Amino acid sequence: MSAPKWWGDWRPTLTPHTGNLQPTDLIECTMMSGGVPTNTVITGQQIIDGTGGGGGGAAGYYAQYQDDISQPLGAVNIGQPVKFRTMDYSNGVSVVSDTRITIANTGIYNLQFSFQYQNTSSQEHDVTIWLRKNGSDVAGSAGFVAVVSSHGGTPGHCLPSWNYLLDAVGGDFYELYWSATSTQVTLHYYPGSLPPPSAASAIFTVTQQAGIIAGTGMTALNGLSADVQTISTGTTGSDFNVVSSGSNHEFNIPTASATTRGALSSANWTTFNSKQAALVSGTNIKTVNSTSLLGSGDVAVQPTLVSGTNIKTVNGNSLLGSGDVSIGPKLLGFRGILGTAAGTSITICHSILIPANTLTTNSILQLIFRMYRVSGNVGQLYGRIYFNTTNSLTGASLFNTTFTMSGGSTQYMGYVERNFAYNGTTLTSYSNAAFSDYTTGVALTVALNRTVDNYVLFTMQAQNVADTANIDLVKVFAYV
Amino acid sequence: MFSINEIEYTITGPIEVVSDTQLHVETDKGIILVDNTMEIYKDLINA
Repeated sequence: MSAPKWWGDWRPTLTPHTGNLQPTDLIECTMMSGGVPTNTVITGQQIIDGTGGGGGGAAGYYAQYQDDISQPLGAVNIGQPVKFRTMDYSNGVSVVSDTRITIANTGIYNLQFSFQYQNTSSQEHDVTIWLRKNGSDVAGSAGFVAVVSSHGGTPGHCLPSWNYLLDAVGGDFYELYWSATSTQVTLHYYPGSLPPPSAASAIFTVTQQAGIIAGTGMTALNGLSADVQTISTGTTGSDFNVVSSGSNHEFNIPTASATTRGALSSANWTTFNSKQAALVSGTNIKTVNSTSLLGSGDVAVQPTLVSGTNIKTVNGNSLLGSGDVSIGPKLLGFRGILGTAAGTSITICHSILIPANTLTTNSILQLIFRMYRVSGNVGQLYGRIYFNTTNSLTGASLFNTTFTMSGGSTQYMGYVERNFAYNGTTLTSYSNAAFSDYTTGVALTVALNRTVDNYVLFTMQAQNVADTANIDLVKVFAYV
Repeated sequence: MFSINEIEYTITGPIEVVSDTQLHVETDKGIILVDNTMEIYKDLINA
């Protein structure tokens, strides 16, 4: 057996060496015999360097670990993790707690391993190898390998090697487990003894196949450059804010308040949702006598009337409620000033309206007026009472008594009073020229329709053109 | 017979001239004042 040779079939400049492999090395360790390769015992890993001309592009995350200590089996058919205690290369992939191959960055990775088994038993034994992810067995990952028995005092050997393609999320870890049917089977380390160098008990390589390749894509987010970053929520601060620290970005939306801009709490939403909608006069707020209640200022509204407090009583009787309050004679009108002056024509000096339906079927109409000779002193003055449905003498009905004021002088007066009984259709008094009602006379009637407006016309007439007559006092009462 | 405001009156008594433009006419509905603004005035004053 000749000395081993390092060679690179497509990199003729590679210098054989025994030191650590470099990222750009393509290696194979081949046992040479008589100048002819007879057995390849280690298949190396091509690691593409982005700066080189061979692979191009950026290098992915990778790692290679080995273990240089023999690993005996603790118990027959009991699985145990393979240990990798020597790091050869590591970039984004590392071994934690000797066994956990931990992927720091999400992506697709190729996991290749090779285990050096030794069997000291004279019988052949089986070895089982499988993969675990985050502490759980990966279904379908197991493989069975037979390790030949010792022969001629030499232990039997076997070097199983295969690969797994890992779909890893940053933080995932993988373990390679093994078990055997005999504790005489071990993962065995062989120290160097020329010609071969040492043989590791276990080797694995992990190389990234897809995903965000190291050195490419986004390198920092909001100032954080951790390979794996997380997002959380919070409520701190007085406005929406993002706090990026370590490898976490905390999105804070505080609860809105008088001083804080933020999210509306459920309780406050309920409160706001219960608020009065915008008022629209006549739609969701009533008007008062067609006046809108919207806007500023007061709307004059009569307060509730309380008899004796803000509304007077009449002879001790409250004015509140429905119906009439009997308060005695109703003053239909009065005049305390001179009216229209009269000459020789009959002239209305004053008139008083009796509104429709004022009189009933049992009423008294009391008329009082005072004749007044304003000027002159030649002839007589005649006072008369008419009734008409208009405020006019045309077609008026005369109460057939003429009150005559003879003689006297200027500024002479005569006070006249007449009371009429009314039965619903007819006014009744009597014929007598006396001014006072305290006398006798022939009954006189005047028809009066109480259902319409009627006017009492107080007239004067001067006998002589030199005289001026008038009336300076009128009172009309209805006893109803 | 004459009418005022759609009310018919039947003259039942004397007609009295009470001024240059006014008459008192005794009717079935009492004494009515008729003035020269009414159609009946001319008929009554000339009666």
